Amino acid sequence: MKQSRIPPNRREILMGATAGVTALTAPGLLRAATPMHVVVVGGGFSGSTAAKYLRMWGSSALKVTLVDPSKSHVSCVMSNLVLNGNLKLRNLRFSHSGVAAYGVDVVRDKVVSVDPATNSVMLKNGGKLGYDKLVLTGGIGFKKIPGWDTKTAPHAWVAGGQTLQLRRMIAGMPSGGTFVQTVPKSPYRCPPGPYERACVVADILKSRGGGKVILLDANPGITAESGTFSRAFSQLYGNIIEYHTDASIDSVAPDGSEIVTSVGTFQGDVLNVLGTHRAASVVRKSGAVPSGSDFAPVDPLSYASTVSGMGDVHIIGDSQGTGQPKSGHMANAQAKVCADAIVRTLAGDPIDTIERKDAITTNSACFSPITKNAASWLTAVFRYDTATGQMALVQESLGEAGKWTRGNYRDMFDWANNLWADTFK
Amino acid sequence: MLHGAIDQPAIGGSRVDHGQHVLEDIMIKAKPAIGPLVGLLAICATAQTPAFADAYTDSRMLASQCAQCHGTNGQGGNGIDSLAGEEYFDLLDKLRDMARPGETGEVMKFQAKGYTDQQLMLIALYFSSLPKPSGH
Repeated sequence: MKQSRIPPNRREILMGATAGVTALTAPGLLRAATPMHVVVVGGGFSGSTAAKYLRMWGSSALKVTLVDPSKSHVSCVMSNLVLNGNLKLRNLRFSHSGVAAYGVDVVRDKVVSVDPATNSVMLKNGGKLGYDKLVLTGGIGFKKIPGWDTKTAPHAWVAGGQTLQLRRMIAGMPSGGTFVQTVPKSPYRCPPGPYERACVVADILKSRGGGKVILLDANPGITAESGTFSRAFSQLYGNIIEYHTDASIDSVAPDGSEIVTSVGTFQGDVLNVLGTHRAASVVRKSGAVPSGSDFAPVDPLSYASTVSGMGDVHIIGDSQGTGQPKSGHMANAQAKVCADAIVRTLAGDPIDTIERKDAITTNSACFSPITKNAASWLTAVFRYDTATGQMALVQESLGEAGKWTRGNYRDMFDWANNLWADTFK
Repeated sequence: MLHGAIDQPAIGGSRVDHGQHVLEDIMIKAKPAIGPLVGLLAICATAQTPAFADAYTDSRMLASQCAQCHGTNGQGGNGIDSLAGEEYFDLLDKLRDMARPGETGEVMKFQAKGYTDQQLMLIALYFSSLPKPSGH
């Protein structure tokens, strides 16, 4: 029973409205004594989109609270361009006031615990928020690696301070120096991203007269845009990028000078460790990630947790475990399906009609800078598969640019600007 | 009136969710070519059936997947086409052309192949029912 936790008085009102007992001109949710409350945890791509669309689609019938410890979100999308100086970090900073303009209450605090039994979350400042539905986001966490210290070997895979730190470290590399970078084992955030970063760094080193990028991939091969990146690695950066596959990390020297992997030990002037991912800490602590899993299992009709007793908790974005690619664009896509499901469920409407299942899609489009002024792209559509109850890639929709061009670099800014606007503004 | 939470007043001043008025717009802008469909929708709306409300948010949810690039409610911007208020068959013909096998080389020529023909029709119908963005 999806609605078992809605207080009885509200339920009666809702059911009455649906049955046509109340005036036809008064939509059901407006008749509730107090609005339904959805708490969204985390103001990144998935959380911001969910909060905005919940208010757009649920409007005054829904009270939406966004909880985030920061005033703004720093976009990982385009953040490799901070490394070469094409963009400043401030160009990637989006205030939560954008979604607040839709009537979202923004609470600047950190969620320290989730109690699905009482439908409430505890805040760091000691406060407590009750919810009818909870949307948990939070991006990614990293599995522990012996010796790894992000102060000496940053990941910069969450944009912000580490992005600037990595930029400074690259700027400080000696002429002809070596940059050692890892690619996490799939699934990880932004499938083309690590290869894109290797290209951006190789381009920086090339412009300074040379150097080396040692790319240590935990996967058996390039996981995304393999046509584009294999050509970039072998031709454009053939004398700079040294690419190794099946390289799982054993340990990292605490001073960031060396990394021990299954394919050898590597030293460099800069070590950029992208560790194996798992769900964000707030999602793991909520109980939505079963032991033995790294991400939260959810029903793609609603992104509600499939863990017993957690049906009012929805997980979207990089922490969910549907197997769709982890990216800002996909997080935005999932948030809309989730928001629609919540609005319908709270209005007493079903979410498992054939018509709705036939309308559930998500898509990914992303651009990758390959040099300081040329980019490639990758795109795919996912559709709900009624037979399996899972999201499935539509094979014919999977495509990549195949070449990097200045035109694509220009299009990349149009894409990013509109994605940011649909998410944060 | 549609039933349920989807027919609330728009919020946020100028940030009007034009999508909420899709039914009225479809009825007002009824074209001979989609006459039978409009007629069906009108009957459903008169009867206040939840079934139509379901179909309505289905299309809205489906079409919202275009907004990452084409702007919230298909309003366009930043050099990417707006979709709101375009002619139904113009949109549908373009989508179907891009969905044809062998059409490659652009993001949309792959994206269009990700949807069933039925989905392409619903997307085109939804965006054609929205008002054009101001200034167009």
